[in-house]
Parts: sequence; C-alpha cells; structure tokens
Amino acid sequence: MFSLLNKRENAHSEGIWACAWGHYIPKEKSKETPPDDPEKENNEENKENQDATDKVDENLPDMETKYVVTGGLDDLVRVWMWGGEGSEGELAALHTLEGHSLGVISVDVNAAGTIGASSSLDSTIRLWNLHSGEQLQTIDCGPVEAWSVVFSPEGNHVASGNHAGKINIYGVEGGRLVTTLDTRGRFTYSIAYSKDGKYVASGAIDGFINVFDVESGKLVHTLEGHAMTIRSITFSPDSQLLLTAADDGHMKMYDVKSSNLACTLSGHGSWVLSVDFAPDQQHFVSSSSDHTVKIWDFAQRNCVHTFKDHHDQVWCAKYSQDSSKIVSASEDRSIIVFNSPV
Amino acid sequence: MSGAIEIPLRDSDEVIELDLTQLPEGEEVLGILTNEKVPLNYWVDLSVEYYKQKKEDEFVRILETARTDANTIYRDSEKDQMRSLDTLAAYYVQKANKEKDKTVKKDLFQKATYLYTTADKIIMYDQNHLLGRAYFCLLEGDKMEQADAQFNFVLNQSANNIPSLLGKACIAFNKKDYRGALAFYKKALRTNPNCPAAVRLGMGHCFMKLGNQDKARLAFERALELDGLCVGALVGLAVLELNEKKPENIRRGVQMLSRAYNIDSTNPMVLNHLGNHFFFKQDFQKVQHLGLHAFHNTENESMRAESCYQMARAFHVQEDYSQAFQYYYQATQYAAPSFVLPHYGLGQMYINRGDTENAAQCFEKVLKAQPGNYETMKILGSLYASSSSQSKRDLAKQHLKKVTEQYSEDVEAWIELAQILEGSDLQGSLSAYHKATKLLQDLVQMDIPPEILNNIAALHFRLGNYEEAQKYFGEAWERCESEREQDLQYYSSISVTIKYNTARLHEMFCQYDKAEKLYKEILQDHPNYVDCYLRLGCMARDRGQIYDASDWYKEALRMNNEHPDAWSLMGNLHLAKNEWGPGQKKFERILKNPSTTSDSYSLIALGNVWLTTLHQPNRDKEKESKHQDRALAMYKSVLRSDPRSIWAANGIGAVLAHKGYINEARDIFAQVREATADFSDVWMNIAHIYVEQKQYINAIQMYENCQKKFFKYPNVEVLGYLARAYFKAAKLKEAKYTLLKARHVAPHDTVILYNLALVLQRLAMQVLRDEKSLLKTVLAAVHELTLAQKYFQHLSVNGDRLKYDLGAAAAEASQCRDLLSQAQYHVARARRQDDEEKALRRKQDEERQALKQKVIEERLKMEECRRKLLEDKMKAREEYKEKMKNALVINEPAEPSRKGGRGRKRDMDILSDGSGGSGPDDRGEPRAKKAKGRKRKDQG
Repeated sequence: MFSLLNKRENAHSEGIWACAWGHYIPKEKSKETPPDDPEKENNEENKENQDATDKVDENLPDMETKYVVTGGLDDLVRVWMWGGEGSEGELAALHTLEGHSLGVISVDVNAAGTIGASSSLDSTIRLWNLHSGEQLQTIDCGPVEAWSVVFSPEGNHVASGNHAGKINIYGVEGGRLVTTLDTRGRFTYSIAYSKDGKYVASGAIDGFINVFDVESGKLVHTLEGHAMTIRSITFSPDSQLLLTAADDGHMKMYDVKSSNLACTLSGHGSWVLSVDFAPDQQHFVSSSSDHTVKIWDFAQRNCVHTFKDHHDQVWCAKYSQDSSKIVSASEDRSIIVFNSPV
Repeated sequence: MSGAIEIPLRDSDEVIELDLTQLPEGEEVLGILTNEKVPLNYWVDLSVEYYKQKKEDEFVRILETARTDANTIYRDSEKDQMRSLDTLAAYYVQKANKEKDKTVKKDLFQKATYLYTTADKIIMYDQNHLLGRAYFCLLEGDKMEQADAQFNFVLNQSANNIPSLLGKACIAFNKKDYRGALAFYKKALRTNPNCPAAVRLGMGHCFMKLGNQDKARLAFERALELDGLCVGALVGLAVLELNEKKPENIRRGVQMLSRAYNIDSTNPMVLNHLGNHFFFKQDFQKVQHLGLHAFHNTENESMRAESCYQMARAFHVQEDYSQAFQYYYQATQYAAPSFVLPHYGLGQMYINRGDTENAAQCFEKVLKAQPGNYETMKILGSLYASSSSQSKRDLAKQHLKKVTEQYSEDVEAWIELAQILEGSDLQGSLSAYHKATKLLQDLVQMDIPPEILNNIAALHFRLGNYEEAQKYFGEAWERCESEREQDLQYYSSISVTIKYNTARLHEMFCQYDKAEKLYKEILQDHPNYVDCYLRLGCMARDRGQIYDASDWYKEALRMNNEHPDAWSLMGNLHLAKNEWGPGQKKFERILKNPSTTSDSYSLIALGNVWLTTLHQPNRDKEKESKHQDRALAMYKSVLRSDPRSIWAANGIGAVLAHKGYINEARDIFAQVREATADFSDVWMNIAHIYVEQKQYINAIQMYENCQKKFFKYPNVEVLGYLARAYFKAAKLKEAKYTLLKARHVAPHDTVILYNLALVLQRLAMQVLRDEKSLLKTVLAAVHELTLAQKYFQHLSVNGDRLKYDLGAAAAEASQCRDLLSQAQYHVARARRQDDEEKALRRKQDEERQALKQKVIEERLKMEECRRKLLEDKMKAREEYKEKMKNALVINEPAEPSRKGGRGRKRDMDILSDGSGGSGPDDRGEPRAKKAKGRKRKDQG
C-alpha cells in the first residue's frame, strides 16, 4: 500500500528545496544483518545498544542509523533521524546545521551514510559529519560556480555544475578541485553519477544532456533531450538507463550506452522537479510543481500512484536505500515520508 | 302559373296561346312579338319562362330586343320597363358571377351596370330595382356598404322584404356577425316559412360558425329536404360528418360529397373537400385532378388557395418538391391571413431548398397566426439555431425553451435546445442533454446515439469535469464501435471526432504521450484533419520545441493555406522569440484574407506587437507616441466589432498607462477583471498600476495572488515584479527571499542576479548602519555584501548588455568594495560590543559565582556555629546528666528530653530558613538565576 507515514509540518521556516536519505550501517554488524529483515535488525540493534558502548570510531554512531537531510531557503541544513521499523515511524530532529546563506539548493549523503554535502546559492559547498553535526569542509566556489551537488558512488568526490556548463569535481578530503569536465553547453542545473561510478551525467538549463566517462574525462554523449530546463537527472541502479525530469512536464529515459531514447513519460501538470530510482529498480519517483509526487512502475513505465499530500510545489523526492520509503520536501515547508511497498 | 301564355295580337282581341311546355324557337317568338307589337309585360313574362326552361339565349334575346322593339305605349309600362331592365341586369350579374374569365366577367358587369343605370332613370326607387342593384353591389365584393344602404332603404319601406333580409344576412355573415346574420335569416323564415333551401343553408353556416353543430346539422338537413340538389347543404353535412373523424362518419361524409359531385361536378367546395379526402386515401392522382378542377371553377381566392394547397401537399408527399413548391407558393398568394397551412408547407419547401431565410419568414407567418404553435416554434428554433446572428439565435433559444416547457417529453426539442445552449450556457446545455438522454432511455428505450454522448462529454470537458468527460467519451466510443456496421462511413467519421476529443482529454490529464499517439493515428487515416496538426504543434511548443511546433503548423497550412489558427500560432511562435517582423507578417496575412479581415485575434496580436515595442528602451519620443497610437488603433478596431473584448480593453489600458493616464488605465483594468478573473495579464497590470500609485501592499498582494492563481511553477517574471514591489515598499528581506526563489529556478537570469546583488547590498548597509546590530548579524551582512560585490563584479563582465548597463554593475561593485572597507569598522564595533557584552556577562557570572561562594561560606559558618552551639548544649546536658545521675533514677527527665528534642527540631527549621544556606531548596535557587541569565543573553 502506498501511504503517508509521517508528515513533518514546518520542518523549515521557508520552502524546502532539497532532501536526501542516508543509511549508516556499522561495519561488523552489516554482514550479520540482512537489511530487509527489520525485526531481526531491531533485535540486533537492541543488543548492540547494550554491549557496544566501548566502540567509539571517530564520531560515528554505534548503530544502524537512517538519516534524512533537508535544506531550503532558510539557509539551514537539517539532519533528521528516521526512527521506527516497517511501515511505522517518525522523523526526529537531530541537527540544525548553520553556515549557508542565500538558500540551500541541494543536499546529498555519501553511500556510507556518514557525510552529508550541501550547496547553496552563495556558491559554497559544505560537508558535514551527520552523526556529530560538525562541519567538515567548506568549499567556496566563486560567485556562480556551484549548483547542485552529488557524491561520487565511492564517496571520495563531490561534483557540482556551474554557470558556464562546466562540472567541477572536488575531493572530499581537503575540498580541493580535482578535475573539471566541460559540457561546452549552458548552465548545468542537474547532475548525477552512475552507481557503477563510470559516468557523470548533467542536465542543462536549455534541456541538453551530457554524459561523461569519469575515468577518461571525455564527453560521451550530448543529447538534445528536452527544450526546457532539466531539473533533475538520475541513473538507474544498474547504471544502464538515464532518467531526466524537465520543465516541459515530461520525463525521458535513455539507454546510457547507445544514448537511444527508451521512452517518454508524461503525467505531471507542470514542471517535473525531481526524479529518483528505487534501489531495487522496481519503481521510480517523480515530484512536480503540480504539488504531486508520482510513483512509476519501472517495467510497465506507467504511473502507479499519485500522492497529493503537499499543497505547494514538491522540490524533491527520494527513495530510501531499502526501496521501501520515499521522502519528499516541498515549498509548503513540510517533509513527508511515504511508504512504497517493496 | 298556368301552363300557357296568351299573347294578344295587334288590333284584335285574339291571342296566341303559347304552350309553356312547347315553347317555339327564339326567332319565331321574336317575330311574333315584334310584328304584333306586343306590350312589354308579355315580353318579360315570356323571357322569364324561357329562362326557367334554361333557354338563356332566347331569354337574353327577347329582353335585349324588348328594349327597342317592345310596345311600351300603355299604362304603367314603366314598371314593366324596369322589370325588363332589372331582369336582364340581374341575369348578367349572375352570369358574371359564374364567369371565370376576367375580361368576359368585366364585360358582363359593364352590361349590368349600363342596364341598372338606364333603369335608374326610369324609377329610381323601385324596390326590385334597388334589390337587384344591392345584390349587384354585394357580388362586386367591395361595395358592401352600398348594398347594405340599399337593403336598409327597402326594409324601411317594407320591413319584411325577404330579399333584403337575406341580403342583410349575407352582409352580416361576411362581416362575421353570425348572430346578426342568423337573426335576419330567422326573420325571413318567419315571414315566409316556405323560404327556399338557401335560407336554411345560410342558417346552417351561421350555426357552424357559432359552433352549434347540432343546429347546423338540422339546418343543412332541412335545406336538403327542401332541395335535394342543394350542394351547399350536402357539403355542410359532409364536413360535419368528416369532422367526427370516425370511419363510419367519414364514409357517410364522402358519400354526401360524391352526391354533391354528381349534382354539380364543378362546385369548388365539393372538389376541394373530395380532394382532401383522397389525400388521406393517398390517391394523389385524384387529389391533383380535383384540385385543378376546383381551381379552375372558382374565382374565390380562399377556394383557390385551398385547391392549390391540396395539390401542393399531394406533390409534397410524392416528393415532387418543385411542383409542391409552386403550388404552395400559389396557395400562399391566394390564402387569407388565417389560412396558414400553405405557409407551413412552403416553409418546408424552402428548407428543402436550403433557403432558411425564406423558410423562417414562412414559419414566422404561421406562428403569428397561431402563437405558441408547437411544431412551428420547434422548426423556427431549429432554423434560427444555425443562424449567424446572435439575436436570431436568442430567438431560437426562446422558441425551443417554450417548446420544451410545453412538451417536456420532446426529445428532439431537448436536443436542439441543448445544441443551441452549447455556445452560451454550458450547464444549461448539459442538463438539456441529460433530459434528452433520459427520455431516450426511458420513453423511446433506445441506446443513446454516440453523437449525443460525444457532445455531453465535450460539455463536461469544457466545464472542467474531466473525469466525467472521460466516462462519456468512452461510452460514445463504444457505441460508435457497435454501430459501425450500420453505416461505416458515418460512424467512422464520428469516431474520429471522439478520438480527437479523447486526445484533447489526455492532454488535460497531462498524458501527452497518449494524446500524441491518438493524433498521429487520426492523421494516418485522415491526413487533412488540420486540428490534429495544430494540437501536435501546440504540444511541441509547450515542450519548448519551437522548430517541431513550426513544422507541425506548416503541415497544417499545407492542408489549408488560409487556416487562420495555424497562421496565428505561427505568428505567436515568432513573437515568443521576439521576432516581431515575421510575427507581424503572419497576422497581417490573416487580415488580408477577405474572409478574416476583421479577425479580432490578429488585430489584438498586432496591437500587442506595437505595445511590446514600447517596453523596449527607446529614446525616440516621436516614434514612441506613433507606436502607442498604432497599438491603440488596433485595439479600437477590435472593440468596434466586439465591444466586449477584454483583450482589446486590456491593451487599451496598457497604452493609457504608458501615456501616463494611470487612473484611467486602472479603471479599465478593473473593469476587465470584473468581466473575467481568468486572465493573468490584467492582474499583473493592476499590480503595476498599484506600484505606480505607491500602493505597494496592494501591489504585492496582487502579484502574489497572480502567481498563486495562474502558475503552478515559480514564474520568474512575476517574482521579479514582486521583488521590485517589496523593494519599493522597503521590505528588503522579503525582496531578497523572492529574488532567491526566482534565482533558484532561473540561475542563468542575470537580471535576477543583479537585483539580488542590489538587495543584498542594501540589506547589508541597513545592518551595518544599525549601531545595535549584533556581531553575528554583522558578519552575515558582511558575507552577503562580499557576495554582492562578487556578483556585481561578475555581472560587469558577464552580464546582459541589453538589459542593464554593465558599467552600472561595475560601479555597484566598487560601491560594495567601499562599503566592505568601511564594514571593518562596523565589524570591529560589533565585535567590541560583543566583547563588552561577553565581558559583562563574564563579570556578571563571576559576581554571581562570588555571591554564591559567599552564601556557601556563610552557610558553612552558620553550620559551624550551630554545631558548636549544639555541641555546647550537649556538653552542658551531659554535665547536667552527670550531675543528676545519682540524685534521681526515675523516668521523669525523659519527657522534657522528648519535648526538648521537638523544640530543637523546630529551632533548626527556623534556622535553616533564615540562613538561606544549605538544604535542597537552596541549591535550586542559584540554578534558576543562572537560567535567567542565559535567557537574557539569548534575547540580547
């Protein structure tokens, strides 16, 4: 059953522009605990609570933790903890991270679930320790040099597009610019790494899509995908497909290797602001200026559910690592966690 | 009268006896009469005998000859002269009456007139003469009054003069005074109970007219008794029978008519009624024959109208519409105003010819004669419904509404009403359709035709009930599929329409992929379905694929090179790309086409082109006012043909605002918005006006509502204006947030960036100037000022030259730099203040600590004292106990000891209270104080 699990009203004092899930699993425990058995997981956690007090591993939590990170116009990055199991639970406020100004555009969490990255309109990227809330790094990118930020799959880089169509890749350690990929196009609005780490794809303000080979740094494809701003771009978990969302109300799916258009999806009544795949690749989620969040069936390529719980544009919607939940952030200042049956 | 006439011979007493049964040839008689100088009276008598025997030629010759050759030299011969003249005149009149040939008729009338005038000179007031003249007048038709006067004259002389009474009755009847006519007939009957059948016949007609059918029947029957050959009575009875409408009666009626026909096969009345009968027997050949016969046997226009009508409808039924048309037309020419059936038929013929104008006129005539006639209203409603004139269509609406009110089960009327309401009253139309479908299902028990389902769906579509629309389109499609075999071509044409509509619905559900698929499917089978190209073009346009859109529009134009919508859409594409010239050309092309010379859309588009040029920075005042006037001219010409055009009005408002007539512009915009709230431009314009009038709060509200109402996504243009209004209203923080919202979706928009930098700069200045600003705020302001400076610096190089002065950006950048250098002072001030505050806080903390310490020390001291005191007491007590040990060994001292213990306890309580030293209460105190202190820090 698709359903609303938890709604956090007034999670920020202004519109919320970005959200991301983080999932931290302590190293030893992760092997013993199959992630899709929540009850057992819980027992393990309890046990862990009692006997794992002696482990302090450089500011990391001692138990499995599900984070939600959000950011918005109020310059704040907030870290929440998802507590609960199965189809019940609640977001609990963990940290309020200050430092950005002019509004937080995007947030991301590394695959390990330890570090959060955020970017803001003042062109800074900040990295945070999710457990302690301390700021790890500030990367000041010049007046118009940073937009949305993403972690590389292995977590040692963050990438962000700029006004001149370039993609800057920074090292997480030290925050230095590692390399720059040039699309030779216009403003790079959206950006994504493929899960296998081979590709970086970017969506431009004029609807162009560029795909780079990370290793060689070469531009692999340039697609005239949309004629309007691409608000969001993402790879399928198997890294075979690329999914885009644009102001034309459409989503497009491309085959990464051949760059052929696999399908065009429509159904939103306004701009499509974000797209994200469920890690199990059964579904993907989209959110739009039409106030809705839509769940799509990957195999059928049709919309299977529409959430109408927000009452303003939904800037971002993301699938949790176990594919069972979706978090959405909206201009209406609320965060919602939805259940998505696996 | 005896069986013979005796004619006296001249100069003798002999007579010639003429046996009336064997009257000699005319010549012979004339010879006798002339030769023997027979007195006139014999001539007359003899001629009358001839007349009676239907030997009219002899009759005429005798009387004509009598005028010259008869012997009038005897007493009272004048009377006979009168008789002679009047008789002949009467004969002529009668003959004229029967005559169909107009010239002959006129000739006869002239002869009669001459004779009467001759007679006038002999004895003017002879009764018979007067009566003859009177009848003559009656027959001439238009001399009713004259005839009446003469009858009156006669009646004055002899009150019971039957011919006069009958004449008066006739006049009264013609004047529709049936009661009066009846009275005259009755008087005549009383005077002479043996009156001829004609009197009864007249009475019968009177009774008919008065609605007394039983008496009418009696009168006709009596007339028939008196005169078995009385055709009028037969017809009257026949009509009565036929009106009964029972087969038996009809048979009797027809029998009577045939009898009448046998008596007088030329009587038009009989012929017409027989024709009518055969029409219902569907023997159209006979109808035609009888009608023609009747037509040629009467001069009476009503009769002729009737005959023509009979023939016309016979042809009508046989689908010989051209003949039917001719006869209907003729019938209408002859028909009295109350005889509207031919008009009805003629109207039908006009409809058949596609001449709705004339058809409508015919039906209007019918409706005028029979107001509220249901069929006629329905037909008129239907005719007017397709008219291009609004007033006619309103008329149609009225008619159809009346029809449906009168006959609420008339499915056709409901459908017609629904169709005409489609244009003006969607909800009304929908409910009319629903009524129709309900009737179809319940009464007719037939499936609802797919056309109607489609129309209902389309109405739901237009009302925004997309779910309902989908349902009905689905039903319509299914119906179409199942009916397809009946008429392949017809139903597939309907199913194309349904398909197109369904595609439009998919668009509304934002299922563009599905819509596109359907449009392309339609085009595969119907490559000339222009609307599909246009929709595909529009969908491409909305996706931002302008070139694809243009290709689709061109495809549409290839199918129809004059399609105004396609040209308009092309024009709009150009305008959207700021290509004014090519855009203008497209609209001008539409206006050049003779069929679309006053196309409002194109005119407004052109007006808007001129208006837009006013938005470009332009220093040429003359050119500006020329463009203003051109825009104005365009809008005005639209208003001339469509005074309610809100777009034209909005345009005029905009031009007025440009010319500085702010109040006038505001009034116009207000009116436009009253007319419709679904038009974002006017909201924007009103907001602009508010800004001009410095009513910023209203402006802000207007812009915000406009964004909320019309745009789901953040509209950068609206946000830009909103930020400007906030800025002017000195609400810098809100301006900043608004600009950030815009920048969030349009980071490439350098105007937004410029404005953001400006707002950041102003905000920073405000913070820095405020001596009370806290360090944190000051530092944030300095950070933002730095950003502003960077932005301006960036813009001074990378900015958009067309939208603002890059030099200005550079100047702002250096301004920011100056401010930043000054900022250090402010930072220092804030830091100092912060330090001071911190120091103060520290000091306070220290003081508090000291106080606390002191309190603790005091408490300790007190404790010490108390303990000492206690110890002393204990010691004293021990000593006392020691002392008393040996003196008393009773329990007594135990009591004071307990008492003392209690007392001590009380003492201790008081002590502890007084000292404010130790104990659980005390420890709470300083903590509360501490908390208070922290709070103050926060507030500060």
